[in-house]
Amino acid sequence: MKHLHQHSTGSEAVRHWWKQRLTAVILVPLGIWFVVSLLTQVGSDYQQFVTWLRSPFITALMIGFLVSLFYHGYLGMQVVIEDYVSDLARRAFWLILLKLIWLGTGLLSIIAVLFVALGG
Amino acid sequence: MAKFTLAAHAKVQSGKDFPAQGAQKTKKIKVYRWDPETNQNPRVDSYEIDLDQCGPMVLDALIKIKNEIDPTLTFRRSCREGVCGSCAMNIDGTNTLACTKYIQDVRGDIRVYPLPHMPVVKDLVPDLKGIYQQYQSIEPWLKNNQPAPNRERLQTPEERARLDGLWECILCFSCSTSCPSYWWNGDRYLGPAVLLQAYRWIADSRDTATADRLQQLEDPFKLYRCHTIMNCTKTCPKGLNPAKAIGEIKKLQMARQL
Repeated sequence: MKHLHQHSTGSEAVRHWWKQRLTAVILVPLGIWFVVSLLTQVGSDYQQFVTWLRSPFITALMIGFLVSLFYHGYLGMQVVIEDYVSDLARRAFWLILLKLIWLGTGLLSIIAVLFVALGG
Repeated sequence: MAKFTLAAHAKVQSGKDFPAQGAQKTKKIKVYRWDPETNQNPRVDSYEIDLDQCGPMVLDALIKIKNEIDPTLTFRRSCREGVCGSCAMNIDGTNTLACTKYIQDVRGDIRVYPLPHMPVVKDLVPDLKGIYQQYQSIEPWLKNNQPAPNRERLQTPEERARLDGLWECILCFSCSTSCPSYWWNGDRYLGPAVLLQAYRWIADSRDTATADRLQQLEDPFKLYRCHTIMNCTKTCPKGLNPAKAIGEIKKLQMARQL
């Protein structure tokens, strides 16, 4: 192409779009893995499930899945709020609330996985 | 907030009936009517058309109504062959050109409304001032910082082919007014028609302002309100693909970050 790089600023708009696509692509294999894993765990008791989750590889995959899932969900919800809430003060309020809820639930689920993985 | 219901003064009421006298084959055309000079709500008038005495297109029916039944009906039209874009309106639930839409392709009564979610000037005439300003904002003309040659700026056949699917746009705005993102954020989102035009100049090998053009579009609202809903592509009466053009702009935005 012609001189594309003249003013490249690394803008948030492009990054947001890119991160949304990236997390979506990551979620395809991880999402399939998550569903299949849960199905194979049908019938296990609590102890068997904990043993499964404690395997370092499984723990890592699970945390990877949760990070991608919550980040992708956050980016998507941000777009929904920007689309439908046009009043700037209200939009700011909802975006902050969204961030808190998403960060909170995301962290909570990751801590829960670590709690099980590291014994407790 | 995005508004999902009509205000009380905008609620559409049923209007007058104009039955056809002594016709064999008829079709009922239900047309949105609103006159800013009366204090009345919009209404839908029903006109019965004698198909044996009418041309094949919806525009023919509208012209027949205006000439023979109700001269107060107001709509834009000019070329009557799909190249000017004036008669874009919502027919049978889809934005299209009245001049290229066959009456016989619509089953049952034909509902005719102005392009959705635009201010209405009168009847089927939308106010396009805002969208024309957006079109102007992308500076839709050739920009080249090289000295002018003695003859035409040449392109290879491949370079010229990149403009196919873009130059055919007639700016009827059927696409932009079919786009939910444009409905909710039309003040800041440029919409499919204007973005397709922006890409038409970005893709032009003779234009040297590509980086500036992309920089102008690098904005969460101007460009990135497009969520690939594809209403634009589905409704385009010229069979163009604005969603693809927007996708190409997004790819180029990504490429200049790398």
